[in-house]
Amino acid sequence: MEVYIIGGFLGSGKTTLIMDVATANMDKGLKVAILVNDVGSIGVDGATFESKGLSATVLPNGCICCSLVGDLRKALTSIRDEVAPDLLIIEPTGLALSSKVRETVAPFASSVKVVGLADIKRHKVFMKKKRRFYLEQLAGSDVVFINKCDAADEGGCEAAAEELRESLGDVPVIPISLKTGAGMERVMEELAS
Amino acid sequence: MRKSESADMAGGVAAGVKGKVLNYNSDTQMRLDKALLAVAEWIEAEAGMFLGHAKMCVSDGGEGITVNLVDLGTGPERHGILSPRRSADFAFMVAATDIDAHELEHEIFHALEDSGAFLELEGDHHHHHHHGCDDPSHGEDCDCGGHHHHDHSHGV
Repeated sequence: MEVYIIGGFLGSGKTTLIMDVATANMDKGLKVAILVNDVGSIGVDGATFESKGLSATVLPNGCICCSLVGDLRKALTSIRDEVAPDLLIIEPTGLALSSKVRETVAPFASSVKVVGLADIKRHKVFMKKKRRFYLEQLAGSDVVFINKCDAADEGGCEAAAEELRESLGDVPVIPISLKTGAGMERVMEELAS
Repeated sequence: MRKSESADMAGGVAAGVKGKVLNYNSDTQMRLDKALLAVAEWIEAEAGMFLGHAKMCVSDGGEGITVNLVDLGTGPERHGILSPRRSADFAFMVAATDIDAHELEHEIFHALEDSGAFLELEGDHHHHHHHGCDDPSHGEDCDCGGHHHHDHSHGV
């Protein structure tokens, strides 16, 4: 079972990216499972996936990187043994640290790819107000996509990408737009690599 | 919301509610969109900035509409459609930074109450008001500090 962990702050576009990636892989004939984590007791993403014809296992009321590690292990065991997907896509909460999720997931997976999703519209604010958390959340990603680049000022996405490369080290940082589909070929290439 | 180290690190909290929406139509959806916006605007007023995500899903039998609100300038963004019906499932949640979780929950309930949409929400809402004490049964030595609890169910 291959696993993709799609992390990023609240509202960065994780659910949209997961729907696109899940659909593309299902179209290729792969069996895809989705595990979604909601920080609150009431979640919306599970219902969103279902309304798009995708089924998801939902872990609510905490973060799978810390407070729900035990629940995550149980869910991974169940998905691996009972669903046996080719690909499992995990959406941690927008307040989770993906690198910690990787530690829990690795023993259950043939390979793990961690994706960090940033939001160009709020990048400067995050760097100013939530810098420590923002960078720690993206740290440990195998690739970082900067979403919403259709709404960025000219050169804004490249400047943000350079800033993230300097802060995160040797990680590919790629501007995309899930709204327009710009960069989606590159997303699929990076995930498949 | 269970204690989460990463949420604490981000200064983030979440709250939400689910239930049924009755007599659903385009007017109902517009009212619910406004409730989502009202909560986000309250967060901006409280925290100085809306750093979070407010979203809801109204669905029925595999069909549904999701509304996301991340940017107050952009406003609520709808995905999908749901035709009018007598009843649909409803979930509404907000996660954001630098606000109090209890107050957020309170604000969500009141935004939905003020929306005028016909909702049957699950669970009880626990009100916790701070106000000047004008209860005649409280004497001069009253030490409630204007701190009263009200518990009641919302059939918004």
